[in-house]
Amino acid sequence: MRPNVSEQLDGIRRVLTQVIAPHVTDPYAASILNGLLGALGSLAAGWSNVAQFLRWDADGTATVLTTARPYLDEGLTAELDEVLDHVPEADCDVLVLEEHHRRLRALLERAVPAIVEQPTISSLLVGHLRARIERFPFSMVPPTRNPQTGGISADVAR
Amino acid sequence: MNDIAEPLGRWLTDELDQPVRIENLRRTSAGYSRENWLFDATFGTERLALIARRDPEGSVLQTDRGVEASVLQALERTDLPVPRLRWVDLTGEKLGRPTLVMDLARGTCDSFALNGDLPVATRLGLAHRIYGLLARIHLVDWHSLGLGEVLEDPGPAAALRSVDHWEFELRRVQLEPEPELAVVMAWLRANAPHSPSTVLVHGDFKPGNVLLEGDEVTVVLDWETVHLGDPHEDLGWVTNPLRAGEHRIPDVWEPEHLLTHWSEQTGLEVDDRAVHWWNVLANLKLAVIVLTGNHAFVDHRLDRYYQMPVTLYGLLLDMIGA
Repeated sequence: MRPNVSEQLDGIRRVLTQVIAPHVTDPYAASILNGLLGALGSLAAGWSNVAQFLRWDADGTATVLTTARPYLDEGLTAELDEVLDHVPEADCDVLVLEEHHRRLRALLERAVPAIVEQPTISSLLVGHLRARIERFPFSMVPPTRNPQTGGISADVAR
Repeated sequence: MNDIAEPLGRWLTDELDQPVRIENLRRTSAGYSRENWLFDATFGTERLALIARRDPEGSVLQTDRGVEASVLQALERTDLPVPRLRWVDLTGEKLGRPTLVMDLARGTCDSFALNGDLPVATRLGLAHRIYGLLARIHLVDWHSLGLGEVLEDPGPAAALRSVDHWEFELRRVQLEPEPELAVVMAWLRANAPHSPSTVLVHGDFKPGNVLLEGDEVTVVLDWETVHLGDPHEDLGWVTNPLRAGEHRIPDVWEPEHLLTHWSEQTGLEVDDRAVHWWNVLANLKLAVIVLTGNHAFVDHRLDRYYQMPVTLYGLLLDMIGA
């Protein structure tokens, strides 16, 4: 499967950078293109870890919820049972895995008020959330000094 | 892209009751929450340098142009340097979406002016002048300006009201569950301080929202998040550790210097615990702003795209001692 996904994303990014970007002179369009190139780079670097990350995060989330089960209301535990009865197979489509992951994260979001009242389980929860931040497959580029300040400025505008 | 040139010309022709020519119209790359269009309006022998701030189809913030216009008009009666508002279209009948037209103020915008190439003493003087303006905003007599009729006074519960507001915004825009933010909001609710007084809060005060001419501030910009609330809200925003590169000068203008200066200027006391609480709220707000942008991006209403703010989530967990 060549060019593979990484090669395709990398090639698209290179062409946009070397062929298209030099001809984009409008400040707004150039700024948008610059941001999209950064996003493409992040996607190229992280896409291959997505399925593994979703599986790991879903499993860790399920562990937290199962531990917190005695403190959760009946409706939430019933939904948890239903979700855990339908864990996707190892060879499932990534979209199926994504939906399973989303359902568990939704249950966790609802369970937070009960969990934070229990110090031991709260530590388990925070430990998982911190590990999740470390493993997250895409990175956010922090704001940096921008030489093209643009803005609402007569000096820059002219 | 310049499809607003003709309707803008018609609008200003109506306002000035004479033919107006629109020239040099261009959209700037600055401003993530509003479209900023710079242009010259020529009529008779006059030429005005103006800016039209139009609501975008999608934004990182949902705010009310009517409130912003009312506050700007009220503040023109004070000695605060604010943009001069020329014309207002709140319904969008002129340019398709609500728009404010203002004079283009003198000066340049530099978000990192405090950490630029100027000598430290010059930058420190600049910091005193910039954050002195924040103190002056907090000293505005909003009652006598009639702003109590435009803005709601949240009273001593300003902190909890702010959590309510940002939780509402989160629910409105989140594309997926956010347990990290649920943990942070639980902490915020359990530790919310009482507001000692109600002041005019700018909501996004920073060096990037003032214009500079030399080392003088000519105008304070971006009043779209202005509201009434706890003065510690702005103090928490400007001492947010995540934004240190914008607000601090290492060793000489650290948060303790800023807060002491503000207290001297306002005569109000600083509650360090409240400042920390509002630091946390500031980053919750930033996270929701990123998620708002991503919601609009997925809906094809915003051109900018941000990765999930997981780094911010880590900082928030640190800040609440989780």
